[in-house]
Amino acid sequence: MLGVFIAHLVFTLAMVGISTGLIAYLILLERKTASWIQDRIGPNRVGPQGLMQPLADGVKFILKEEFMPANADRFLFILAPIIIIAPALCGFAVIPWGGVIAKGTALPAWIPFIGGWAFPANFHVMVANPQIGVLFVIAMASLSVYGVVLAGWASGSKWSFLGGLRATAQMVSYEIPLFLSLISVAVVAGTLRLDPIVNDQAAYFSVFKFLPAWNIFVQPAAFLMFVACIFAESNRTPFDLAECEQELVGGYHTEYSSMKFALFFLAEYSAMITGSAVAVALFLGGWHLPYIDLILYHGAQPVAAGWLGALLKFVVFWGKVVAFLFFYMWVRWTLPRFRFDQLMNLAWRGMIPLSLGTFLESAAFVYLRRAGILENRWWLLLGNIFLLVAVAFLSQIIPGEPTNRRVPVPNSRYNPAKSPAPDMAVES
Amino acid sequence: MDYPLIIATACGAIALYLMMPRGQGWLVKLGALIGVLALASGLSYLTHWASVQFPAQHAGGPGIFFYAFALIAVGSAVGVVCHPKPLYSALYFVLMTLAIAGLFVLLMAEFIAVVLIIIYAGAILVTYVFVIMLASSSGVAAAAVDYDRISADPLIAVLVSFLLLGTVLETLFTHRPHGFIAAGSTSLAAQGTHWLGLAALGKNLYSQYTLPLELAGVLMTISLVGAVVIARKNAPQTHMLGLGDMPAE
Repeated sequence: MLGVFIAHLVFTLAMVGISTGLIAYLILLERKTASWIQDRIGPNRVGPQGLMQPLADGVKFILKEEFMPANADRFLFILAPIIIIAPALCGFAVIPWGGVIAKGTALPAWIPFIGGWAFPANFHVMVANPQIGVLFVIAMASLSVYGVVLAGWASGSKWSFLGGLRATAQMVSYEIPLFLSLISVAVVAGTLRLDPIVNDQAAYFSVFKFLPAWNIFVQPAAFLMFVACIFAESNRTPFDLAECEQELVGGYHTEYSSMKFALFFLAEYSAMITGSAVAVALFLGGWHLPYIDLILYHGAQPVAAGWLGALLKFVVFWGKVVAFLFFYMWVRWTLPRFRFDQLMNLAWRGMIPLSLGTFLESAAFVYLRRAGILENRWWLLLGNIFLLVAVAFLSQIIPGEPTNRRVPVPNSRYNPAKSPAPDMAVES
Repeated sequence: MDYPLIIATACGAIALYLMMPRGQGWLVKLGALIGVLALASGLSYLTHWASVQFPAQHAGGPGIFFYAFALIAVGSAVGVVCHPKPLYSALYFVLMTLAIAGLFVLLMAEFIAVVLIIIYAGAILVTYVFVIMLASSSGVAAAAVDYDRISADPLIAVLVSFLLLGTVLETLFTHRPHGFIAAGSTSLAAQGTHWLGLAALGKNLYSQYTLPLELAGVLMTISLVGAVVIARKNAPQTHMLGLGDMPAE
């Protein structure tokens, strides 16, 4: 029992170390990605190929001046970065990083003191495996909004305040489709634990045998919404209205400097890692490496594995996570930012109805599967495609709220009332 | 009747009344002192009571986590009512929700705990904070508004809430409804695991409590539709700009 506890502890500490170390290099990757996309070279001065840049950044963060605005609420100003980083790191707890280590797998004998110790039961390579699984991630994500809000309010600055308001509205709106898209996957899997959801995906469609039965192929509509929502939840472009430079200087962290600002940065990247990990576990097959398992295991990859298998799964999972993180950055440097009304319309008029649709569809599929009418997940894919097409079609038909409305402001050339400025007439 | 409990409750009421924000420091400190004493005596009485009533289940007591979460919950609940700044009150509310979620986890009700966090801390209180932020700005000058600093009707509020608390305590400890067990006791597992867990909760909700569940769903839908209806009555843009009647575009 103590051995298992220590194993959990070691794994937890290792995960914290890996992810915080990774964040430093993610920032380098972000800058490099930006420079590749913009046809520049990017940071290349510190170390070979600029690989020591994260260290230089860290030193710079520590040495910068700590600044506290005169108008700030001192307690909350200090509390806000702490509040934003804590839930962002908590989300790692329920991610299944590497499948299951089989019962009886022993440590190599050459390790002093603990060599030869074997796992007394199957060991899930995750920090914790509660029943609520993915709901825990959502709960932590929903707490992270407080850091943003408090930073905005406590700074005592208009830019920060507006950034905080925007972030609140955005995060509350995008939580609903995020929740619903997660639930549509969980309903089909019949569990909220991420572990069995991953195991479920390590298979192939029975109609198209070449296609792995990952949830991205089973429920593409839910995946699209999930991706959009985690982008919005981690405040990344095209949803980074809360820190929109052109309008709000730096948004909610305008007044922060030095390590407090670094904590905001850290929180954003750890939210990205958590989001990517959940995306990989829920939609991208987790540790499942398609086609290789056909060669190695002839199609039936065992869930529990020895050291080598667990390590392979771990590497595959992290590989997918890093690929997804690269996708995050790719999107950031490709797409322009939304306007705020577009952002809200997308959530409330587009994604919430669509996610309700996918949820209803998954529920109906589960019912029909129980009744023995539909067996194959293939039908869910067809339904999702139909839903996407239907929404795309309907959104053209339904008359929308008139955007870009001409508001008759005094002196505006759209104002039919007599306008006092004579030169307006010339323009039209 | 449990007189020690009633006295502790009454002391708690007096303490809370003294701690209500009205701008005198020493009164608040006195109230806090009385409150801590009342809480400590009430808690020790309850622990003693439980060890007498349920000697088997109470072996070892509720454990450190129960006391930690309970104290955080009570303390932050006092903070909600007594803090002079509204935003801090809302944050204390969040803290209280988290502590209560911790208590639910101790009772092996993980789902309820997480849902409490998602709905209360993640949605409802965010809206509160949103509104409070819109209504009051940070900074030294803005904090001194009178209607924020002084509570409006402390006596009535304290009386009503503590009467309610007294009634609940009285019902729980003298009439003791069926199935009442000492909070945080380790005997939950002994009661059998058939009623624990997500699947059991779902089965219960959709078999025994189908009608209340559906009614709640209908109520939610009605309120959602109502919110949309209210929000759609948008005033014409022209009135807001003071331009009189303008042709709508």
